Formats: sequence, C-alpha cells, structure tokens
Amino acid sequence: MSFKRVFLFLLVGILTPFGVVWSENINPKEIVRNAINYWRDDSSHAVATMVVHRPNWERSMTFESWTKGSNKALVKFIAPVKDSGNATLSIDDDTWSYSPKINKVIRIPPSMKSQSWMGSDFSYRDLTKADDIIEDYTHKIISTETSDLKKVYVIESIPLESAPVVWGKEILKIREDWIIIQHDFYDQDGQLIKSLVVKNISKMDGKLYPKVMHISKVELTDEWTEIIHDTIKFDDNIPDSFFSTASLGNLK
Amino acid sequence: MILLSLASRNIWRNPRRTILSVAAIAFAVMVLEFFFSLQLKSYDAAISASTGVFHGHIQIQREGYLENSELRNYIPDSDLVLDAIAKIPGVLASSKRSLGFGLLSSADRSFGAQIIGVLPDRELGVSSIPGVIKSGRYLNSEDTYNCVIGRTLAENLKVGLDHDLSLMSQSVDGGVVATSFKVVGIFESGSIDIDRAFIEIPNSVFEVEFGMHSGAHNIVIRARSIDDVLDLEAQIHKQLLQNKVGTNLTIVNWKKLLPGLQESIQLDMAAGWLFYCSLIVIVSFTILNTFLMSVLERTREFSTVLALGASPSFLAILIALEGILLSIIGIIIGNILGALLVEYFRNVGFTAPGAEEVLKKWNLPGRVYPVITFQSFIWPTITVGLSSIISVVYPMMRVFKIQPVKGLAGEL
Repeated sequence: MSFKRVFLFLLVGILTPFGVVWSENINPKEIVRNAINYWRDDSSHAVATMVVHRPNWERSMTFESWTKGSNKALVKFIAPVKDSGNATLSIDDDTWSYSPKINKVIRIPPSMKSQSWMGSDFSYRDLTKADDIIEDYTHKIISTETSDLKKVYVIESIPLESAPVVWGKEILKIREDWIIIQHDFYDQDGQLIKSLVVKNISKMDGKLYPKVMHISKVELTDEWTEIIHDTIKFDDNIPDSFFSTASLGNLK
Repeated sequence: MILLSLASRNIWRNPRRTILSVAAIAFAVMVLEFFFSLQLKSYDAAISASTGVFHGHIQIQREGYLENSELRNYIPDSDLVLDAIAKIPGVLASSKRSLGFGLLSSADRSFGAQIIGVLPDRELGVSSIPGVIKSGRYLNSEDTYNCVIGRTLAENLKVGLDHDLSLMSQSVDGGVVATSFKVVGIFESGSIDIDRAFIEIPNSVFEVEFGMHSGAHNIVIRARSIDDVLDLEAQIHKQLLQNKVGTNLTIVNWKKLLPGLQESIQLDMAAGWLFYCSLIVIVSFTILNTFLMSVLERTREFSTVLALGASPSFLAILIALEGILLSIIGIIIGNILGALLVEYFRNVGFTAPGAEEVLKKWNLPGRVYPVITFQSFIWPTITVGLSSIISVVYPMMRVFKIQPVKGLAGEL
C-alpha cells in the first residue's frame, strides 16, 4: 500500500464523521417534515376568507377550519348565506362533504379527490394530503436563496414510483424558520402547472405564519384562489370526537 | 378486328388453362367485392350506431369546448341557435344539451357522474337513449327533479326506480350545487362508458341549478344520412352567419366527437388492405404464370409467324388482348358471383364466431348485412383489372426476345 493510499484512507476516515454531521444538519427530508409540522402545528382553529378569481367573476367565501395532528381537518363555510353550512371533513384518506340543502353527508370517492374543492383551485386532496409529501417523495436540496434576510432552502421533491400522485415533481422553498414560502407543482413532463405562494408573513397567535396563501395555474394568469387567514389559534385542544361525520351537520 | 378474333380464338385453344385463369380472377373479384361490401357496411353501421347513441352527427359548441369542456364555456343564446338550425332542410333532428360533472350519491355510495340536461321531447330525435329504457320510463316535458341513469351507474349506486339520488357539483359562478333527483328510468345503451357514467335530467332544472341562464353546451344535430354530414356542416355555417346568431361557435362533426371511431375505422381499413393486397398479388402471379406458359408454349408458333413477316409488336398486342379479354371475362363473372354472395348475406346477415363480442363494443348487432355500393363494386374491378394488365406485361415482352431461327429449331 503506497503512502498516497494510506493518506487517502486517513483523509476519508477523518472527514466522514464531519460529513455525516454536516448532512444531518440540513437533511432535506427533515426540513420538509419540520416545515409541514410548523404549518399544521398540533392543532389549529382558524377563520379565513377564500377568494376565487375567474376571468368573468370573483367570489369570496368565509370559512372556519379546525385541524388536529397530521390527518384530521374540518372546514365549514359560514358566509355568504348561500354557501353557509357546507362543510368538508377529512380523516386520514377519507373525505366527506355535507350540504345543508340536501341535509346529507356524502363520502367523496378517491377518484373524485382531485376535483376542485368549492370551485377553487384547491382540490379535496389538498385538504389533507400535505404530509404525504414527507414519506412518499425523495427530497434533494438544489440550491439556497435568501429572502427577508433569512436563508431559504430550495428543495426538489420527486414522488416515488409507488406514490399515488399526479405530479412529476414539486419544488418547495422553505425558509430557515420552517415557513414554506413557495410550492410549485410540475407535471410528468417537467412543465410547471400550478404554484402556491405565501404573502404577508406575520405574527399570528404567537408565531410567524403566512396570512395569505395564493394559488394559481401557470397557464391561466387570470385564474387564482387566495386564502386569507383572519384569525388563527394553535393548540386549541379540540377533542378527537369533534372530527366525525356526525358533527358535519351539527355545526352551528 | 382480326386481332380480336385471333385473341379470342387463342384463349379458347386451351380451355382448361383459360378456365383456371378466369376462375382465379373471378374468385379474387368476388372475395374483394364481398369483403368490401361487408367492411363498408359495418363501418356505416358502426358510425350510425355510435353517433346515434348520444353524440349525433354534428354538434355546435362554443369554440374551445371540445378541448376544454368547462361548465362556463357554454353557448349563451342556445335557443336562437337551435331555432335557426332546426329550419335547415338537411337537419333530421336537433336538440340542445348542457353538460356538467358532479358527485352523485345514494344512501351509502357515491360516484362521479356526467350530468346531462336534455330537452326530453327533442332528445328522442338525436339519441337512442330514450329508446333503450330497461325499466321505468324516459323523461317527459313535465318532469322536474326526475332523472334517468345508466344501468351500470344504477348498479354501482345500488339504486332502483323511485329512489332518490343526491347531486353535488358547482354552478357556473362557482357556487355549490346540491340537490336531489328521483330515478324514473334506467337505460342500457350498450355503450359501457355511457351506462357507467351518465345521468340525464331536464334541461330546465339544469339551467336553474347550474346557473346557465338559458345557455347550453351542445347543439346536437342528426343528418339525414352520414354521407350528408359535410354538406350539412357548410349549410349550418351559412345559416348561422345569415341569422347572425352564435358568436365564437364552432361546428364539430362525428369524426372529431368520436376520434376513436374514426381511428379504428382507418386501422381496420389498413389491415383490410393488407389482406386485399396479398390476395391481389397471388392472383397476379397466377395470371402471370398462365400467360407466360401460353407464350413459352407457343414459341414455335410465334417463330413461324415472325418468320412469315409478322412484326413482334403485332404479336405483343395479340397477347395483351388475350390477357385483357381473360381479365374482362373474369371480372364480369367475379362481379356477378360477388353480387350474388352479397345479396345472399344481405338477407340472412353475416356473422363470424366471436364477432358478436367485438361488435358489441361498437354498439353493433352481432350480424352485418352487407350491401353492394358503387365503392364495393369499383374497387375490386379496378385493382384486379390493373394487376392483371400489369402481369401481362412480362409475357408480352418475351415476344420481342423470340429469335425465329432458334425458336423454330426448338432452342428457346
């Protein structure tokens, strides 16, 4: 064994532990996990306004939402009068919709989950699928940027072969304080299809949170949906039993 | 004239060979004619069956609707357009429809479905669905929150007559559509896609629930015959311009409405031609063989004639005439036999084992009743005629190679 080789071995041996520490520090999967956890918190209770913009009309609806853990969400519309009472419940992979007009709880079949939710640019799947991205995708940091004096990780997330998603890849921009500031969705051909951008990051219930979420289809600049959080409370201690089909129709 | 009588005498000098050649030609023509008739007829049947179920021959839509079938992409003044179209003499029937997508649910099941708002009275003319009700009845003009649904959809939802179905969807302005319908009829159109996903409701209800303001997505038109479609398209175009109704509209025919159908026909036609071509090639070689034999056999005779002063072209023309005479006889006999065969199956219908399953996919009955058309007569005649003329060329050229001295000595 030549001296050169011994030296190389030593070098690798010395550097490897550092390498591990270095990569653990910014493991992209952990960044995504932290960001999702930060966004969802343990539980949340919010009142928000959703504005759906289309070329020839724009409508705005107000809803109240409750989330708990990574798998429970309930959304109920409270204004305008025409839409009030309509509610959607998501538990794990199941989604139900309630309409006061027919006074019925309807389970949304999986095939319908990519349909538009309440006429917006969000789909039913968007209500809960957020944390699937942690396990069902492979993540890679492709660059870092700076925004508002904070470091931003640009993470490319590619779904595993087995993941039940329509996207070819997603690009997440996550600030070092775990706020997702942009989320781009690409199709299988690598074309950017829709893009979620957050605005007005401000202190809400004691933590920095994006007040406004803006989602738009890239091809149609005149079609977008915006969710504006009016109030949000974290750790609201909501009982598990609240997230049931029974409470869908009973919400007052 | 002398050539002609010589030629006809020549071909009857060896009747067995002549009969064989004529039989080969006649057989080819007969088979081609029969299969052509069968094929064209089954295409016609496939087209009229497929367009007859739902799509119609021609539709008028808002520009871009075909590519992007969105609810808001409707024809605003649909009634004016419909009135203008109904006046065109070539229009056998016409109606308008509104189409939406929604979630349909019964007591414990839900499925996505295509919701179609129809004018019950007019729908009869443009769709076979009103005629294939398996239980209950079709919609009528007095119906409001009643519906008819496809058999498979009914099975999936586990609903029967008089059951209620809830519908959830979005209206044109993005509002929530939530309402319920009573099932008054269940239809079985034979088309898997339609029976699995279609629910038809009165258009008046569709307009109210989806906020359509008397707009509609399609004006569906049925022509008197599939062959009139192109003409009718032009007439519709003119009529729309004259009446100054319907801006940003586009006229779409069945080929675009059912692209799969057109492609399948083309694919089938191509496969058919492969078969026809091999048949024609085989027949051509048979003819070539016969003629070559007849020329080689008569080398001594031709040499004598040449030695006596006849020109080689005289002999070449003679051989060509013999070939043409043979072909004409063969083609005539073939056409007669072909016509008889087609006529026979026109009465009893043609079917092959296993064909019924394939045909059902096209909403076709298991039997095809072929009919002779100009096309099914002209194509075999032309192709077989041409190929026999081509196969005469080589034997004809042989004549020019005959050297009388050698030929007479039997050396060629």
